[in-house]
Amino acid sequence: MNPIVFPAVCATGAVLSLLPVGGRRGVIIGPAAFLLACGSALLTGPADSVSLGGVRLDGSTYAGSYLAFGSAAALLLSLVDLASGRANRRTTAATLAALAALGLAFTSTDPSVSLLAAGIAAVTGSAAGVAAGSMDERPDRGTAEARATGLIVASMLFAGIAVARPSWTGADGGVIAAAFAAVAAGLAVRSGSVPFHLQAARLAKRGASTLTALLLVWIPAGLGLVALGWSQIAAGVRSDWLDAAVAAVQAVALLTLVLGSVGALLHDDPSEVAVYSTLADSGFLLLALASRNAESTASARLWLLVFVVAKTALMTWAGAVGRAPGSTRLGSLSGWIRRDPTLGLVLVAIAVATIGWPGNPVFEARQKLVATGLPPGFGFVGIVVAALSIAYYGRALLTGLLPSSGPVLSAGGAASGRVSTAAASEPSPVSQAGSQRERGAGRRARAPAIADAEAFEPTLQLGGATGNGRALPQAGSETAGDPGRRERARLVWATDRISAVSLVAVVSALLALAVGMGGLGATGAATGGIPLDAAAAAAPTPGPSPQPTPTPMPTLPPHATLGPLPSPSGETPSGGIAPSPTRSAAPASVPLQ
Amino acid sequence: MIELSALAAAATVAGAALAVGGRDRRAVLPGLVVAMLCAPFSVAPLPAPLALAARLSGALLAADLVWVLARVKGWQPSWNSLGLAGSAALAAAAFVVGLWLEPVKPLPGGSAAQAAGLALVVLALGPLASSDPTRLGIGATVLTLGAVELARSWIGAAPALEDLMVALLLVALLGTTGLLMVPAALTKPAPGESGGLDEAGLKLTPAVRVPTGGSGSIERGSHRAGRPTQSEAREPGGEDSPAEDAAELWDRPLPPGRPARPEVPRFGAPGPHVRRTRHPRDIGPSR
Repeated sequence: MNPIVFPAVCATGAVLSLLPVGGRRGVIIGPAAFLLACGSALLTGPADSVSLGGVRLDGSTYAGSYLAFGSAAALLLSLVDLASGRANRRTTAATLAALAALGLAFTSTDPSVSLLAAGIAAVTGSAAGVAAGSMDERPDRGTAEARATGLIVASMLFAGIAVARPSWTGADGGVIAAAFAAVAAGLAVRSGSVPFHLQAARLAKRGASTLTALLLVWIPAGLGLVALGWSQIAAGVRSDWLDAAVAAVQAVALLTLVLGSVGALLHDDPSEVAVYSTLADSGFLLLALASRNAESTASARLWLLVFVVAKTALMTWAGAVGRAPGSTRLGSLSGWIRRDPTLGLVLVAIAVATIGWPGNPVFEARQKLVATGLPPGFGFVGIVVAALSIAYYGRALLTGLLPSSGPVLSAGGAASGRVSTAAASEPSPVSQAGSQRERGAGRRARAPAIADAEAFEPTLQLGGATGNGRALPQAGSETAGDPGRRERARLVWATDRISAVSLVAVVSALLALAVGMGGLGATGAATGGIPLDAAAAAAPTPGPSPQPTPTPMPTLPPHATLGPLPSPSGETPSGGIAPSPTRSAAPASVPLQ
Repeated sequence: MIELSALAAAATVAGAALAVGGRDRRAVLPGLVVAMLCAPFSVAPLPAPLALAARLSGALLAADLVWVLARVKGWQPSWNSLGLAGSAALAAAAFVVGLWLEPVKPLPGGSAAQAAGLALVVLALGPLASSDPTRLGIGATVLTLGAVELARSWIGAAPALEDLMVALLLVALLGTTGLLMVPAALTKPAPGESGGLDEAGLKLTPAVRVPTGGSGSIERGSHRAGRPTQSEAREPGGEDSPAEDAAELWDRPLPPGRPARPEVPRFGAPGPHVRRTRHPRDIGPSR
């Protein structure tokens, strides 16, 4: 498929998401656009190419895989937000716009266009954060976000200048070192690396899951991929400044890997655990940038795919695990696995997909990044980070295996209570759609689904409290209002949002596990790359500036010649061409006759 | 004969100086528009018509977006210590230095574009160090314009798609800046209700600016959401600042039994469709 289809689908979806379309049509625009985008990304292969505005856009297996996984992850997380009543169409539009920009960045053969597109993706993410009100409520809210945006845009523009390698009058090692530092700083700020992690931590408390994933996973991973491709120009550059910049990036990566994991271990809120885990694993992006090693590029690409899918799944889990008990602290969530064992399996799958085991593609990729990105002697860091990751995943799992706490018991003990929690306390998009319908004349015939749910509440209670609160009327039951399959599906969506979220979490975890084990073509795709890799590697090395050749002064012959003078046309009387006075290295002297 | 590129470069720098140093939105926003419109013409040779069309339409769209948001919210730029004269002098100095410097030889895009680019980058440093997010957004926009000018000067002509991306980047930057002008209470959707920015696109409602008293009719806690932000309240030193007076008015307790003070007449009287906002503490995270 034409590589322009994916950006076009995403851009159209972004515009449509912002249109004032009410009711269910307005709700499903975002997921439908994500689904279409995922399909178009899957259908874009390496043989597809198109020229647009003087730039060729080439499809590639890796770009297709990355964009397909990203779209699928966005689709799943948007479903979670829909189910939990946190859907925000501006966030959906910004996510689609960012995906469109990343689609252009990953297919463009012009490095400047790729970098500009990555900058646009970062700015749309910031716009989503601002529009969703995820910033602090202080008067200077948005200052940090605006600074981060300015830094990322400036770094991308500067990198675009550096990759073009204009004919500097001096050596360009300093320029490339400065651009490397700028790109790394932009990536570190956007991914929330230590010490820029505070804003990301606040995001966990305020933002919806989609917004958190957009700002902390999808956009940093996209920026990381573009930065990785761009860094090919720094592979053969020898400069003290570049070595210093690489050392700084290594230090930030090391701090992020260790302190982020410690932060995930210390925090109690599942959302914060997910965010700090994401921050910690984003340290591998910086390691990939610092490695400047062609061997580690394939490992970095595979890690990026796993990062996108697994961290999205982790945020889905975090959104699901505290939803039913209505608590956001692991301390009061003890026994959550007893209430919903599925979510426990989801967390195990995410941990396995992220950490792997010796011999597993993900584990080997992490080890390779540590080995090539850090100086010799720091190889133990990979093991330490893996141990810390196992510790915080294990802590969450252990909490789930403990005896159930009060909130978990109350959430899992009464089906009707859960229904009221899910359907009443959290206004769903269906209810919002219902309220919008109430405002419209002629649409009152379609009653909101919540009203149906309330009508079926006795049925739900009759279904019995199974402990996980998933009692729904069975097909063919003797109840008066036998809803039928479609009706029951609607009821599941309207009332049992936790089951829907758990289902989405299961799908996310399975996707993460498959990618983490190198399946779904991830390993093969990672050996390829995006067109930016080749374009940056082929960037012309500036030669010495063309200096004008000094024109030697015409040398007088040592002796005056008495021969015939050449004619003004340069022809000798004998018909030959007289030697140019500027090119004659040793003018022939004619002896006096 | 003075070349078009030199004139355009000078106009670009003048517009940017106005945008950075201006103390009134009637100066800042037109300055930004002039800078964005003139910047593509400062490169010699001129870009292709398609690229020019992309840049100009992007500039107009970005300007329209930020102008609408600024008008609706009554945004005013924060205090700038340099002022217009200082910004203009700084820009002129950087422009001259840019004409003199030769970091790349030969210059494919001409020295005027390099001078304009350097001046814009220098001008952007002040707002980027500011704590006002709107100033920061304007600084990021000026910095983007400057970097693009430098790239054109050092690298030469770019394909049309690159100019289209630059235009989109400017639109995104100024759109984000416009959103930063909106007070927090209007941008943050409360659980269960749509955001202050109307779900139907970016249809905005004016902010409530009714100071509350002991028996005020406004709901509890809502006065803080309507308090002037730091970007609106000028720093100490500014005289006759209505926003600063309003901030002081908010902090001063009213004597008991006295009715609520009249509205601060800065944004005009609130109409019948004024949206009342909630305190962030009441909005809070939904968990």
